[in-house]
Amino acid sequence: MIRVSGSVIDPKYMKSNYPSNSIESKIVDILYSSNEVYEYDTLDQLKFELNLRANIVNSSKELYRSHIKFKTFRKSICNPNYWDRADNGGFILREGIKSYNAIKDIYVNGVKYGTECATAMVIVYYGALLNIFSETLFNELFSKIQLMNWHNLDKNLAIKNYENAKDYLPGDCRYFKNPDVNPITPEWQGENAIDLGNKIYYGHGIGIKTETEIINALNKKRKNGATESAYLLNSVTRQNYKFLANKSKQ
Amino acid sequence: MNTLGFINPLNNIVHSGDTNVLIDYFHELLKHDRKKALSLIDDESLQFCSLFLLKGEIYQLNLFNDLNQRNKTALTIINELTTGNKNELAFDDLSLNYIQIVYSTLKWILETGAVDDGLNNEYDKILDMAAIFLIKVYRDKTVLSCISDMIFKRNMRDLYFHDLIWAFFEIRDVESLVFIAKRLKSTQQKDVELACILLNFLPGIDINSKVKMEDQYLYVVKWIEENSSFSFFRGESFNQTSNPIPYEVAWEAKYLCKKVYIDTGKTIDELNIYECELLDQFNKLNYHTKKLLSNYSYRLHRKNIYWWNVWINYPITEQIRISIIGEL
Repeated sequence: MIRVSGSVIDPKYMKSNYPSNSIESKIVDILYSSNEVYEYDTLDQLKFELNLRANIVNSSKELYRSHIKFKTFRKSICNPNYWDRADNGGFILREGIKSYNAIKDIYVNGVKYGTECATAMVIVYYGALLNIFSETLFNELFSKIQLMNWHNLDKNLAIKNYENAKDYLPGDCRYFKNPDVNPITPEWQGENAIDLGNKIYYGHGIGIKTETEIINALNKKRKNGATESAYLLNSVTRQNYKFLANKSKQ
Repeated sequence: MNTLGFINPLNNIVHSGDTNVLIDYFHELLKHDRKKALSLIDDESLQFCSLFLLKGEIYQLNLFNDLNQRNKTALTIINELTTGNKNELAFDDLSLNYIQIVYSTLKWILETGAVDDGLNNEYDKILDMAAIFLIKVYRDKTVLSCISDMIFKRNMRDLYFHDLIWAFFEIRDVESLVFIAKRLKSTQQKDVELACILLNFLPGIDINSKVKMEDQYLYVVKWIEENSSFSFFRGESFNQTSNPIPYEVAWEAKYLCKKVYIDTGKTIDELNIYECELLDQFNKLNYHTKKLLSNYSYRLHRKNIYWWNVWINYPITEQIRISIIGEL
């Protein structure tokens, strides 16, 4: 169920704002039919979440199409015009460079970049916000960026991990765990993947695939004599949409 | 230096900092006294870094087959890790002896190689792999201290350490947390910050807390003592989340004071009918009440098992009432 300022929202009204079969429309359907009550202070807050989730989905597809490479941290690469490559393999925004341009460059010049799956998820989150915040606001909120999996996350990204969720929505980041991973390739101990809706996911290094396809890809990276398959965890990583909605008004 | 006090000149030259000096020295020695050159390389006092830096010369000069088993194994491992080419073993090599040789070689790589950690990406990756295999495949706890030291040293130098952290936690032993906890008392702020991140899943560990780090360290030690028998491995890492939770307490098991398997959190002993019925009621409680009951149960069990046996046979509402009074 969806409630805005304490009142139940008619899903038909919400969906009328979006094309049928759109990501936003699908999300409304899930929220409305859930046993969980999703509370919003204002209608704009709800619209913000729908908009951001749709942008996360689009950003995922764009990052995939950018041909950014999958590289372990020891072999990571980035465009030195915008980023300094740290000794630990992460990327640090160069002094004097605007974060808006630097994040955009990853999508435009993806071939110049290579990193692991978790860092790609953080890039997706920044990419989504590029399309929502003004350039001035983006640069102000994210004046210093370090890209290194889930480490050193900017608090303004408002990312949080939840052990369980009542519902899974497009734009959620999920995790496929690979318990029997080959020790020689620890980078395949798991795969972070954005739920794109329609039961497909984007996982950097594997691509845009179904749950089964991602599991099969991870299973190929297991040790000899492996007995346990990779599997999708119940946990979910999300942004705090209310926090970001408030920021967008700055 | 080995137990007889012999100082290997190859190690000394490595630590003088110039790889070319090492290579030149080795070439000269090989020319004038091949036997001595090979004995220095094969000597038990040789550190891994020396072999690593001479590997090019060893292959170039066709010395591989003249080396001892340790060095051949180490070079084979390096070759597989750096080229990705797997070595086809002769059938004779597939023996229990070989399994032991690989283990001892990996241990030598890590323990003698750690002093030169940070040399370059290729070298550090080999140390990472040695750590991963020693922990995940050979379940060797004796290297935990070495790995812990490497993690914190790399953090100090902003070098890549996530694979080492993954390896460290894969030992699946709650008591290993004490190696990290010690760093809470470090005079180096970066040590304390990383220790707080790694122990963040424990309530009360917080770099911004007013509680002194020395006290937070003691808290961790107490937590380990109290919960290690009832904790299971969740296996989260920085690949998955910004605040990984490697271990979690199985509250049901702590409530019944039953040890659990580290991998699953299931009790080692089978539960009787009464215990199963108790858990049915226990699992209907909210998290805080479960925690209250479990902690009280453990402390009472430790204090006096007879009293505990009386208490556990009370109705659960009475258990809760007594626990609350006991906590006050």
